[in-house]
This record gives sequence, structure tokens and C-alpha cells, in this order.
Amino acid sequence: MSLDNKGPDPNSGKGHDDAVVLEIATPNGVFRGSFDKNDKVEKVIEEVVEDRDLAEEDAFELYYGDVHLEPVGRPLVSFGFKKGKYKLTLVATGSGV
Amino acid sequence: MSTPAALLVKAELEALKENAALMGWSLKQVDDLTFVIGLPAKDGVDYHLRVRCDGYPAMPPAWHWFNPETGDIDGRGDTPKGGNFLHSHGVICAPWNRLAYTTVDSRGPHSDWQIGAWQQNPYTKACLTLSAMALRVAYELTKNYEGRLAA
Repeated sequence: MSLDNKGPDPNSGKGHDDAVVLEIATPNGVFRGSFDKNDKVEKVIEEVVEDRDLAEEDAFELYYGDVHLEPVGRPLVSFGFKKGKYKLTLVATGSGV
Repeated sequence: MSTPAALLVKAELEALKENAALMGWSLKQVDDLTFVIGLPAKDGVDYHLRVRCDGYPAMPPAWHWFNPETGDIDGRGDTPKGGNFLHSHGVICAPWNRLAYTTVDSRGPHSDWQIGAWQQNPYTKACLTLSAMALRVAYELTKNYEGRLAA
């Protein structure tokens, strides 16, 4: 593991050349990890929630700038992510009332 | 001797500092229970909040819009508007903002919420840390922001 958190090993598994390195601001600090471009958004959220000790039953949404990465069943590549490093935010759902 | 609130704020500010460094937000701790954070809106304007955390987490923090040049809080020219969250009363309308409660601030829209039960309020959802709250404000300034409350 070459990154700060316990994300997937960027040098292992398929598609090493397609590694999407994500730095994600979360409710419990920054997650850093590497994913295959074909990994789904839901996998990213699951790994971040586990790594950052967030409550699994809570709802979080992943954003790239103002782009909401939904539906979560879509792969990262379908949002335009390819090999490279990206900054994202994991936002707790909720609304003004 | 640090209070429980100060100890929790210290721990949560470490996470918030990580996020601020990543996202390019400004963050300055004022004292054990107070910090100022600057967040960009989608039109490029930076908005600042002076956040007071006395009594946290029994009480939610007080998220005041802030002018770092004058030191004024709650100025309408320093306050964004947009959607239900960036409320037209000039306060962030969420259970995790102390100022949303009429019993605390006359601008607070909610006399129907119990401030001591803010963590159990269904609208709080997972906004239970200072970082979660800041991320939510940053999101609103990106998605639902409509400009300053007053010119």
C-alpha cells in the first residue's frame, strides 16, 4: 500500500494502468485510495465508509465538484474518470428544512 | 484543564484540517472551542463562518456567517442565500446549527425542534461531525447558492 489510508493496492489486480487515484474529503478526514476505472461508485463509497469508520447505515453521496456521482451502480469511467488523481467529497445526505 | 467539548473539538478539527488542506479551504482555530472556516461559493466568492462549539456535542455548534476583515458576525452582506438550507433568515437551517433554533436565535426558523436532541433529529442524518457539517455547507454553496443575502 503506497497511499495514506487502507485503500486497494494500486499495484495489484487488473487494470493497474487504469488506476484512478481518489482523494476524498469525508466526515472523518481524508480518504486516499486507488481504484480501477471500471469499479462502481458504490464500491468506492463502501470502502471509504469502512476505512473512515463511518456508520454503514448512514447515507452518503459522492461528488466530483458539483457533479453527483449517481446512480452509484455506474463505473467510475462512465463519469469520465481515467488514469489520474482526483479530489472528491463524500457528503452526508440531509436537507435544509 | 480541557473540557469534554474542547477535547472533542480538538479531535474533530484534526479531521477538518485534513479536509481543508485537500479542498483548499481556509481554517483557523481561534480558541479551544472556536474556529473560522472559509468556503468557496460557485461564483468564486469566499464565505467565512465563525463556529462556536461550547457545549458540543450536547449542543450543536453555532455556525455564524463571518466577515474576517471587520470581525462582524451575521452581517447580511456576508451571508449567502439559496434553497431551504441557506435560509432567507440568514442562518443555516439544519438541526446541527444552534442558530436554527428559535429558542437560541430569533432568526432561527425552528421552534419545533429540541436542541438537546439535535443528533436524533431525522434531518440531521449523518451530519454528526464538524467535517460532515462543513462538507454540507460547501455542497450547498456549490449547488443551491443564489448569491449574497444583501448587497
